[in-house]
Amino acid sequence: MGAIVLSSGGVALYEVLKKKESALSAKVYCEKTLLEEVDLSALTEEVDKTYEGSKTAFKVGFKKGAVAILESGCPSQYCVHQGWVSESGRSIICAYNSVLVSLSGTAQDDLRV
Amino acid sequence: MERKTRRILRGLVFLFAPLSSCSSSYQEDTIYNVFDSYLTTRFYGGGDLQSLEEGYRSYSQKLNAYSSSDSANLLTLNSTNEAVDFADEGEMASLLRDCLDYQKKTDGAFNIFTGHLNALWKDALANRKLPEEAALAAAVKESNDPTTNYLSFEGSKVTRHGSATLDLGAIGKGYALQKVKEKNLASQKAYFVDAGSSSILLGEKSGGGSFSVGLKDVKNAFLSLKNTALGTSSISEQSMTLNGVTYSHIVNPKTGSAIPTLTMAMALGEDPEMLDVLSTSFMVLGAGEIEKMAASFGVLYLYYDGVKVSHSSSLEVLYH
Repeated sequence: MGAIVLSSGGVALYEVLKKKESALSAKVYCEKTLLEEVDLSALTEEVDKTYEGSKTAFKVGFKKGAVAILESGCPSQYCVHQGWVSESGRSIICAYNSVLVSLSGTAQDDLRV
Repeated sequence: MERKTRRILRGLVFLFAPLSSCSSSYQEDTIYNVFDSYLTTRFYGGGDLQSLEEGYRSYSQKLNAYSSSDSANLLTLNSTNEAVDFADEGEMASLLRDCLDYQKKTDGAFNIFTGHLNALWKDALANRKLPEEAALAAAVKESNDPTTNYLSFEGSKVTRHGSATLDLGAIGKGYALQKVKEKNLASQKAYFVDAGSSSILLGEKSGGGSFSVGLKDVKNAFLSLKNTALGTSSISEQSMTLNGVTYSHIVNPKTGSAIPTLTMAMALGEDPEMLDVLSTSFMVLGAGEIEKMAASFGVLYLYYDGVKVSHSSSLEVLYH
Protein backbone atom coordinates (compact mmCIF):
# COMPACT_ATOMS: atom_id res chain seq x y z
CA MET A 1 0.00 0.00 0.00
CA GLY A 2 2.84 2.36 1.01
CA ALA A 3 4.65 1.54 -2.22
CA ILE A 4 1.55 2.40 -4.22
CA VAL A 5 1.20 5.77 -2.41
CA LEU A 6 4.88 6.60 -3.04
CA SER A 7 4.69 5.41 -6.61
CA SER A 8 1.60 7.48 -7.40
CA GLY A 9 3.17 10.44 -5.56
CA GLY A 10 6.28 10.05 -7.69
CA VAL A 11 4.21 10.03 -10.87
CA ALA A 12 2.35 13.16 -9.71
CA LEU A 13 5.64 14.89 -8.92
CA TYR A 14 7.04 13.88 -12.31
CA GLU A 15 3.98 15.35 -14.02
CA VAL A 16 4.39 18.63 -12.09
CA LEU A 17 8.08 18.88 -12.99
CA LYS A 18 7.41 17.89 -16.59
CA LYS A 19 4.74 20.56 -16.87
CA LYS A 20 7.06 23.13 -15.32
CA GLU A 21 9.84 22.13 -17.68
CA SER A 22 7.72 22.63 -20.77
CA ALA A 23 6.55 26.07 -19.62
CA LEU A 24 7.97 29.28 -21.09
CA SER A 25 7.78 32.51 -19.15
CA ALA A 26 8.90 36.09 -19.75
CA LYS A 27 10.28 38.21 -16.92
CA VAL A 28 10.36 42.00 -17.20
CA TYR A 29 12.96 43.74 -15.03
CA CYS A 30 13.78 47.40 -14.51
CA GLU A 31 17.09 47.81 -12.66
CA LYS A 32 16.97 44.97 -10.15
CA THR A 33 13.22 44.93 -9.79
CA LEU A 34 11.08 42.24 -11.33
CA LEU A 35 8.10 44.17 -12.72
CA GLU A 36 6.17 41.19 -13.99
CA GLU A 37 6.43 37.55 -14.95
CA VAL A 38 4.09 36.30 -17.67
CA ASP A 39 3.49 32.63 -18.48
CA LEU A 40 3.73 32.69 -22.27
CA SER A 41 2.65 29.07 -22.57
CA ALA A 42 -0.75 29.94 -21.16
CA LEU A 43 -1.55 32.85 -23.50
CA THR A 44 -4.11 32.38 -26.21
CA GLU A 45 -3.88 35.87 -27.71
CA GLU A 46 -1.36 38.73 -27.72
CA VAL A 47 -1.30 40.94 -24.65
CA ASP A 48 0.48 44.32 -24.67
CA LYS A 49 1.48 46.02 -21.43
CA THR A 50 3.14 49.37 -20.74
CA TYR A 51 5.68 49.84 -17.94
CA GLU A 52 7.79 52.69 -16.63
CA GLY A 53 11.51 52.31 -17.37
CA SER A 54 14.24 54.29 -15.64
CA LYS A 55 13.87 57.11 -18.21
CA THR A 56 10.81 56.53 -20.39
CA ALA A 57 7.81 54.27 -20.65
CA PHE A 58 8.08 51.12 -22.77
CA LYS A 59 5.53 48.68 -24.14
CA VAL A 60 6.04 44.91 -24.09
CA GLY A 61 4.07 42.49 -26.24
CA PHE A 62 3.42 38.97 -24.95
CA LYS A 63 2.02 36.18 -27.06
CA LYS A 64 2.09 32.41 -26.92
CA GLY A 65 5.75 31.43 -26.92
CA ALA A 66 7.23 34.87 -27.67
CA VAL A 67 7.87 38.33 -26.30
CA ALA A 68 8.94 41.68 -27.79
CA ILE A 69 9.53 45.27 -26.79
CA LEU A 70 7.07 47.02 -29.09
CA GLU A 71 7.70 50.63 -28.12
CA SER A 72 10.35 52.45 -26.12
CA GLY A 73 11.40 56.06 -25.71
CA CYS A 74 15.09 55.14 -26.03
CA PRO A 75 17.05 56.93 -28.78
CA SER A 76 18.68 53.86 -30.33
CA GLN A 77 15.56 51.64 -30.58
CA TYR A 78 17.83 48.55 -30.56
CA CYS A 79 15.38 46.82 -28.24
CA VAL A 80 12.42 47.44 -30.57
CA HIS A 81 14.36 46.36 -33.67
CA GLN A 82 15.20 43.05 -32.01
CA GLY A 83 11.57 42.02 -32.58
CA TRP A 84 9.95 38.91 -31.16
CA VAL A 85 12.15 36.45 -29.31
CA SER A 86 10.96 32.96 -28.59
CA GLU A 87 13.88 30.86 -27.40
CA SER A 88 14.48 30.12 -23.75
CA GLY A 89 17.60 31.88 -22.53
CA ARG A 90 17.26 34.78 -24.97
CA SER A 91 16.73 38.29 -23.67
CA ILE A 92 15.99 41.81 -24.86
CA ILE A 93 17.89 44.63 -23.22
CA CYS A 94 17.10 48.32 -23.28
CA ALA A 95 20.20 49.76 -21.60
CA TYR A 96 18.82 53.31 -21.85
CA ASN A 97 15.82 52.36 -19.73
CA SER A 98 17.68 49.77 -17.59
CA VAL A 99 15.23 47.16 -18.80
CA LEU A 100 15.73 43.45 -19.26
CA VAL A 101 13.11 41.15 -20.71
CA SER A 102 14.23 37.55 -20.38
CA LEU A 103 12.74 34.28 -21.53
CA SER A 104 13.10 31.23 -19.35
CA GLY A 105 11.75 27.73 -19.19
CA THR A 106 12.52 24.48 -20.96
CA ALA A 107 15.97 25.13 -19.58
CA GLN A 108 18.28 22.32 -20.53
CA ASP A 109 21.37 24.46 -19.94
CA ASP A 110 22.64 26.35 -16.90
CA LEU A 111 23.52 29.31 -19.11
CA ARG A 112 23.64 30.14 -22.80
CA VAL A 113 26.11 32.11 -24.86
CA MET B 1 -8.30 9.81 10.20
CA GLU B 2 -5.59 11.66 12.07
CA ARG B 3 -3.16 8.73 11.65
CA LYS B 4 -3.92 8.64 7.93
CA THR B 5 -3.17 12.37 7.55
CA ARG B 6 0.14 11.95 9.38
CA ARG B 7 1.11 9.08 7.07
CA ILE B 8 0.35 11.19 3.97
CA LEU B 9 2.37 14.07 5.37
CA ARG B 10 5.32 11.74 6.10
CA GLY B 11 5.09 10.55 2.48
CA LEU B 12 5.19 14.11 1.18
CA VAL B 13 8.18 14.98 3.37
CA PHE B 14 9.95 11.91 2.01
CA LEU B 15 9.17 12.91 -1.57
CA PHE B 16 10.24 16.55 -1.26
CA ALA B 17 13.20 16.11 1.08
CA PRO B 18 15.75 15.80 -1.75
CA LEU B 19 14.40 18.96 -3.42
CA SER B 20 14.51 21.08 -0.30
CA SER B 21 18.02 19.92 0.57
CA CYS B 22 19.16 21.03 -2.90
CA SER B 23 17.57 24.44 -2.55
CA SER B 24 19.16 25.09 0.84
CA SER B 25 22.61 25.30 -0.82
CA TYR B 26 21.34 27.22 -3.82
CA GLN B 27 21.34 30.99 -4.16
CA GLU B 28 19.01 32.57 -6.68
CA ASP B 29 20.52 34.31 -9.66
CA THR B 30 21.16 37.97 -9.02
CA ILE B 31 20.99 40.33 -11.97
CA TYR B 32 22.71 43.70 -12.10
CA ASN B 33 22.44 46.29 -14.82
CA VAL B 34 26.01 47.38 -15.41
CA PHE B 35 28.24 48.06 -18.42
CA ASP B 36 25.15 48.72 -20.56
CA SER B 37 24.27 45.06 -20.21
CA TYR B 38 23.41 42.63 -17.46
CA LEU B 39 25.66 40.86 -15.01
CA THR B 40 24.17 37.62 -13.73
CA THR B 41 25.74 35.80 -10.83
CA ARG B 42 24.89 32.53 -9.18
CA PHE B 43 26.66 31.52 -6.00
CA TYR B 44 26.02 28.10 -4.52
CA GLY B 45 26.17 28.19 -0.74
CA GLY B 46 26.34 31.98 -0.49
CA GLY B 47 29.00 34.57 -1.24
CA ASP B 48 29.71 38.28 -1.09
CA LEU B 49 27.53 39.38 -3.98
CA GLN B 50 27.44 43.00 -2.86
CA SER B 51 31.22 43.48 -3.05
CA LEU B 52 31.29 41.81 -6.42
CA GLU B 53 28.53 44.06 -7.72
CA GLU B 54 30.20 47.20 -6.38
CA GLY B 55 33.56 46.24 -7.86
CA TYR B 56 32.08 45.41 -11.24
CA ARG B 57 29.92 48.54 -11.29
CA SER B 58 32.89 50.81 -10.56
CA TYR B 59 34.75 49.40 -13.58
CA SER B 60 31.68 49.75 -15.76
CA GLN B 61 31.57 53.46 -14.90
CA LYS B 62 35.29 53.96 -15.39
CA LEU B 63 35.40 52.32 -18.81
CA ASN B 64 32.19 53.82 -20.19
CA ALA B 65 32.84 55.95 -23.26
CA TYR B 66 29.27 57.23 -23.46
CA SER B 67 28.35 58.59 -20.04
CA SER B 68 30.11 60.70 -17.46
CA SER B 69 31.12 59.57 -13.99
CA ASP B 70 31.85 61.25 -10.65
CA SER B 71 35.55 60.51 -11.16
CA ALA B 72 37.60 60.49 -14.37
CA ASN B 73 36.43 57.87 -16.85
CA LEU B 74 36.87 56.99 -20.51
CA LEU B 75 34.47 59.73 -21.61
CA THR B 76 36.67 62.27 -19.78
CA LEU B 77 39.72 61.03 -21.68
CA ASN B 78 37.82 61.14 -24.99
CA SER B 79 36.73 64.73 -24.34
CA THR B 80 40.17 66.34 -24.10
CA ASN B 81 43.75 66.22 -25.35
CA GLU B 82 44.93 67.33 -21.90
CA ALA B 83 46.41 64.83 -19.45
CA VAL B 84 43.71 63.07 -17.39
CA ASP B 85 44.63 61.91 -13.92
CA PHE B 86 42.69 58.75 -13.09
CA ALA B 87 44.09 58.81 -9.52
CA ASP B 88 44.01 55.00 -9.44
CA GLU B 89 47.67 54.13 -8.88
CA GLY B 90 48.18 53.64 -12.59
CA GLU B 91 45.44 51.02 -13.06
CA MET B 92 43.82 52.70 -16.08
CA ALA B 93 47.21 53.43 -17.62
CA SER B 94 48.13 49.79 -17.18
CA LEU B 95 44.90 48.64 -18.87
CA LEU B 96 45.50 51.00 -21.80
CA ARG B 97 49.06 49.75 -22.15
CA ASP B 98 47.66 46.20 -22.22
CA CYS B 99 45.30 47.33 -24.98
CA LEU B 100 48.17 48.66 -27.09
CA ASP B 101 50.00 45.37 -26.55
CA TYR B 102 46.95 43.36 -27.67
CA GLN B 103 46.64 45.65 -30.68
CA LYS B 104 50.14 44.65 -31.77
CA LYS B 105 49.73 40.96 -31.01
CA THR B 106 46.44 40.70 -32.94
CA ASP B 107 47.88 42.66 -35.85
CA GLY B 108 45.22 45.35 -35.44
CA ALA B 109 42.18 43.05 -35.28
CA PHE B 110 41.74 44.49 -31.79
CA ASN B 111 41.99 48.27 -31.87
CA ILE B 112 40.88 50.79 -29.23
CA PHE B 113 41.21 53.90 -31.45
CA THR B 114 37.85 53.07 -33.00
CA GLY B 115 35.46 55.34 -31.12
CA HIS B 116 34.33 57.21 -34.23
CA LEU B 117 34.28 54.11 -36.45
CA ASN B 118 32.15 52.16 -33.96
CA ALA B 119 29.85 55.15 -33.45
CA LEU B 120 29.15 55.25 -37.21
CA TRP B 121 28.02 51.62 -37.15
CA LYS B 122 26.09 52.06 -33.91
CA ASP B 123 24.07 54.80 -35.62
CA ALA B 124 23.72 52.68 -38.74
CA LEU B 125 22.25 49.76 -36.78
CA ALA B 126 19.95 52.07 -34.86
CA ASN B 127 18.68 53.86 -37.95
CA ARG B 128 18.91 50.93 -40.36
CA LYS B 129 20.92 53.07 -42.77
CA LEU B 130 24.48 52.38 -43.94
CA PRO B 131 27.19 54.94 -43.07
CA GLU B 132 28.47 57.30 -45.77
CA GLU B 133 31.50 55.80 -47.57
CA ALA B 134 33.59 58.95 -47.05
CA ALA B 135 32.87 59.05 -43.31
CA LEU B 136 33.75 55.36 -43.01
CA ALA B 137 37.02 55.81 -44.90
CA ALA B 138 38.00 58.76 -42.71
CA ALA B 139 37.19 56.82 -39.52
CA VAL B 140 39.21 53.79 -40.68
CA LYS B 141 42.17 56.02 -41.53
CA GLU B 142 41.97 57.72 -38.14
CA SER B 143 41.79 54.37 -36.32
CA ASN B 144 44.98 53.17 -38.01
CA ASP B 145 47.19 56.26 -37.87
CA PRO B 146 49.51 55.76 -34.87
CA THR B 147 51.71 58.73 -35.72
CA THR B 148 48.79 61.15 -35.15
CA ASN B 149 46.61 59.17 -32.76
CA TYR B 150 48.40 57.71 -29.76
CA LEU B 151 48.53 57.73 -25.97
CA SER B 152 51.22 58.87 -23.56
CA PHE B 153 51.52 57.94 -19.89
CA GLU B 154 52.89 59.47 -16.72
CA GLY B 155 52.01 57.57 -13.55
CA SER B 156 48.24 57.55 -13.22
CA LYS B 157 47.92 60.29 -15.89
CA VAL B 158 47.01 59.46 -19.48
CA THR B 159 47.08 61.85 -22.44
CA ARG B 160 45.20 61.11 -25.65
CA HIS B 161 46.84 62.66 -28.72
CA GLY B 162 45.02 63.26 -31.99
CA SER B 163 41.35 63.17 -32.92
CA ALA B 164 40.62 59.46 -32.56
CA THR B 165 38.47 58.54 -29.58
CA LEU B 166 38.88 55.34 -27.60
CA ASP B 167 36.42 52.46 -27.34
CA LEU B 168 37.10 49.70 -24.81
CA GLY B 169 33.96 47.74 -25.67
CA ALA B 170 35.97 44.72 -26.76
CA ILE B 171 37.92 44.44 -23.52
CA GLY B 172 35.99 46.23 -20.76
CA LYS B 173 33.78 43.40 -19.53
CA GLY B 174 36.63 40.93 -19.59
CA TYR B 175 38.91 43.33 -17.71
CA ALA B 176 36.25 43.99 -15.06
CA LEU B 177 35.66 40.25 -14.66
CA GLN B 178 39.40 39.68 -14.29
CA LYS B 179 39.48 42.26 -11.50
CA VAL B 180 36.49 40.90 -9.59
CA LYS B 181 37.89 37.41 -10.01
CA GLU B 182 41.09 38.50 -8.27
CA LYS B 183 39.36 40.52 -5.57
CA ASN B 184 36.07 38.77 -4.91
CA LEU B 185 36.25 35.20 -6.09
CA ALA B 186 39.61 34.02 -4.79
CA SER B 187 38.01 31.92 -2.05
CA GLN B 188 34.81 31.14 -3.97
CA LYS B 189 34.53 27.70 -5.52
CA ALA B 190 30.92 27.06 -6.55
CA TYR B 191 29.63 29.90 -8.74
CA PHE B 192 29.23 31.36 -12.16
CA VAL B 193 29.36 35.01 -13.25
CA ASP B 194 27.86 35.89 -16.63
CA ALA B 195 28.56 39.40 -17.94
CA GLY B 196 25.92 39.58 -20.65
CA SER B 197 27.03 36.33 -22.33
CA SER B 198 30.18 37.90 -23.78
CA SER B 199 32.41 37.31 -20.74
CA ILE B 200 31.80 34.44 -18.36
CA LEU B 201 33.58 33.03 -15.34
CA LEU B 202 32.77 29.49 -14.30
CA GLY B 203 33.65 27.89 -11.01
CA GLU B 204 31.92 24.60 -10.48
CA LYS B 205 28.47 23.53 -9.39
CA SER B 206 27.65 22.65 -5.84
CA GLY B 207 29.13 19.17 -5.42
CA GLY B 208 31.82 19.76 -8.04
CA GLY B 209 29.71 19.28 -11.17
CA SER B 210 30.16 21.00 -14.53
CA PHE B 211 27.88 23.63 -16.04
CA SER B 212 25.95 23.00 -19.21
CA VAL B 213 26.74 26.01 -21.42
CA GLY B 214 24.32 26.13 -24.35
CA LEU B 215 25.30 27.69 -27.67
CA LYS B 216 22.41 29.95 -28.72
CA ASP B 217 23.42 29.94 -32.37
CA VAL B 218 23.80 26.17 -32.76
CA LYS B 219 20.62 24.19 -32.21
CA ASN B 220 20.75 21.88 -29.17
CA ALA B 221 24.54 22.25 -28.82
CA PHE B 222 26.24 22.72 -25.47
CA LEU B 223 29.59 22.45 -23.72
CA SER B 224 30.11 20.85 -20.33
CA LEU B 225 32.53 23.16 -18.51
CA LYS B 226 33.84 24.09 -15.08
CA ASN B 227 36.68 26.14 -13.59
CA THR B 228 37.29 28.12 -16.75
CA ALA B 229 36.60 31.50 -18.32
CA LEU B 230 34.94 32.24 -21.65
CA GLY B 231 34.92 35.19 -24.01
CA THR B 232 32.24 35.07 -26.70
CA SER B 233 31.22 37.27 -29.61
CA SER B 234 28.11 36.71 -31.65
CA ILE B 235 26.20 38.59 -34.32
CA SER B 236 22.86 37.35 -33.02
CA GLU B 237 22.39 40.08 -30.41
CA GLN B 238 23.08 43.23 -32.45
CA SER B 239 22.79 43.01 -36.22
CA MET B 240 20.60 44.09 -39.13
CA THR B 241 19.93 42.84 -42.63
CA LEU B 242 19.68 45.36 -45.45
CA ASN B 243 19.11 44.28 -49.06
CA GLY B 244 19.97 40.73 -48.10
CA VAL B 245 23.30 41.64 -46.43
CA THR B 246 23.79 41.19 -42.68
CA TYR B 247 25.71 43.85 -40.76
CA SER B 248 26.77 43.39 -37.14
CA HIS B 249 28.08 45.51 -34.29
CA ILE B 250 31.51 43.86 -34.67
CA VAL B 251 33.53 46.09 -36.98
CA ASN B 252 36.81 45.24 -38.68
CA PRO B 253 39.07 48.16 -37.62
CA LYS B 254 41.32 47.67 -40.65
CA THR B 255 38.62 47.77 -43.33
CA GLY B 256 35.64 49.38 -41.60
CA SER B 257 33.43 46.47 -42.68
CA ALA B 258 30.67 45.28 -40.38
CA ILE B 259 29.79 42.29 -42.57
CA PRO B 260 30.49 39.22 -40.45
CA THR B 261 32.20 36.11 -41.77
CA LEU B 262 31.25 34.11 -38.68
CA THR B 263 28.08 33.75 -36.63
CA MET B 264 29.86 33.36 -33.31
CA ALA B 265 33.33 32.83 -31.87
CA MET B 266 34.48 31.81 -28.42
CA ALA B 267 37.83 31.76 -26.62
CA LEU B 268 38.31 29.65 -23.48
CA GLY B 269 41.08 29.86 -20.91
CA GLU B 270 41.95 31.50 -17.63
CA ASP B 271 42.23 35.25 -18.27
CA PRO B 272 38.82 36.88 -18.95
CA GLU B 273 40.47 40.09 -20.22
CA MET B 274 42.46 38.27 -22.90
CA LEU B 275 39.50 36.04 -23.82
CA ASP B 276 37.27 39.07 -24.35
CA VAL B 277 39.85 40.57 -26.71
CA LEU B 278 40.37 37.29 -28.55
CA SER B 279 36.70 36.46 -29.14
CA THR B 280 36.24 39.80 -30.94
CA SER B 281 39.52 39.35 -32.80
CA PHE B 282 38.41 35.89 -33.96
CA MET B 283 35.23 37.40 -35.41
CA VAL B 284 37.27 40.08 -37.21
CA LEU B 285 39.99 37.76 -38.51
CA GLY B 286 37.67 35.01 -39.73
CA ALA B 287 38.02 31.23 -39.76
CA GLY B 288 41.41 31.01 -41.48
CA GLU B 289 43.35 32.74 -38.70
CA ILE B 290 41.66 31.53 -35.52
CA GLU B 291 43.47 28.26 -34.83
CA LYS B 292 46.87 29.90 -35.23
CA MET B 293 45.98 32.88 -33.06
CA ALA B 294 44.45 30.69 -30.33
CA ALA B 295 47.64 28.63 -30.22
CA SER B 296 49.83 31.71 -30.00
CA PHE B 297 47.84 32.96 -26.98
CA GLY B 298 47.56 29.49 -25.39
CA VAL B 299 43.74 29.41 -25.35
CA LEU B 300 41.06 27.10 -26.73
CA TYR B 301 38.68 28.23 -29.47
CA LEU B 302 35.27 27.48 -30.91
CA TYR B 303 33.52 29.15 -33.80
CA TYR B 304 30.40 28.69 -35.92
CA ASP B 305 30.16 29.93 -39.50
CA GLY B 306 26.45 29.31 -39.86
CA VAL B 307 26.95 25.77 -41.15
CA LYS B 308 29.66 24.07 -39.16
CA VAL B 309 31.08 24.28 -35.64
CA SER B 310 34.90 24.16 -35.51
CA HIS B 311 36.86 23.94 -32.28
CA SER B 312 40.05 22.96 -30.48
CA SER B 313 40.53 19.20 -30.44
CA SER B 314 40.41 19.13 -26.64
CA LEU B 315 36.90 20.63 -26.58
CA GLU B 316 33.85 18.43 -26.96
CA VAL B 317 30.59 19.82 -28.34
CA LEU B 318 27.60 17.85 -27.03
CA TYR B 319 23.99 17.85 -28.23
CA HIS B 320 20.77 17.54 -26.28
